[in-house]
Amino acid sequence: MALPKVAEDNPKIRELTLEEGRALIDRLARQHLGVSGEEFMRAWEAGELDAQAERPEIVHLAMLIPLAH
Amino acid sequence: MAGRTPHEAYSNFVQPLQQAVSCVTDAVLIVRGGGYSPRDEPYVLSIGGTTAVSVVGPHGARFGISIAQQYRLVEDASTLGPWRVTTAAYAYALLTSADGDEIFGYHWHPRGHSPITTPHFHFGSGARVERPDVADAHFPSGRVALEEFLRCIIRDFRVTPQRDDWQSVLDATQQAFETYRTWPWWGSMSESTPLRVNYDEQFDVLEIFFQTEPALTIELEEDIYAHVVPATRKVIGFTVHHFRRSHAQFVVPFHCTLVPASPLVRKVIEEALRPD
Repeated sequence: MALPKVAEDNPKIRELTLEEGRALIDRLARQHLGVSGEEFMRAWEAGELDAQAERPEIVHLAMLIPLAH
Repeated sequence: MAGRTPHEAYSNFVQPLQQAVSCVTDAVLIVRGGGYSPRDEPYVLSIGGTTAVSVVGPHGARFGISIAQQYRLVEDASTLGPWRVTTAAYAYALLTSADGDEIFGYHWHPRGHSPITTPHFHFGSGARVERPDVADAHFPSGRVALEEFLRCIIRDFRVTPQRDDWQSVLDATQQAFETYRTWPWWGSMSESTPLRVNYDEQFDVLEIFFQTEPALTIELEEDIYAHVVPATRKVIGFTVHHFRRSHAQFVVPFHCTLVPASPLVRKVIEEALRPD
């Protein structure tokens, strides 16, 4: 089966700006970990969350970090 | 996924994933704006603006799914590209609800902070596994395509498909992915296989690549091309046009020995050669 054509402006794909990406991480970090997005990313980079690195919320948040860079 | 430009490769990667996701949810795929500019750091795509989005289960019950995938844009010396998107990490999970506990998840995060850097599967607290060793285990899984995860939750957890053509959509998007995948089927390697063989049935072109780096294409004889790194004179691959029609018995005109790069392949060979 050929892939259906999808327009470049596919409304089901949303591109976030850097600010929107940071805001998303901030909101999810506050919701799940009770810390700001900045604090989460600092702790992640510093290895302070290594012991919890397989926690589902942390796995997902860590995956999203490139949205902020 | 490949393309003539970084943007085309990105588009060829993202759009099929959005279609695959649309098989179970109408949630929007979130990507980083400008996520087609080559850089060392990976980009990421996810669904919804939350950790997980709700999907419909049997009898109106709800599950949650969480999907995030990191990717890189790489320049590919083969004719598949010259730009290609390669998956850098992923995390797919089924949850008891959009804000519930994880039932199971497929993870691969080779450069994260977890000591588990190979692809794995694990149960979450939502699976209510009683044995703590099983509950905490990271089962080697091989690398799993998003479509395989989606098929699993539709088939085994009876998540309700959101479109009638979900099977053909997942087949098509996965086939497109498989065409360009550099992941080995044995899955336990931390890097992509250095030997890649691709046969393009439509154009009857066979490609064999030992490495991917910028190379000059030199015609050895009619339909047969070698890809050579000019500075080192090293041959890193071949392309054979009209392969089935004219060159099915093609003999590579070089000496070479293949060294297994995967521990699992080495083990399979060792076991096969072990005296009874």
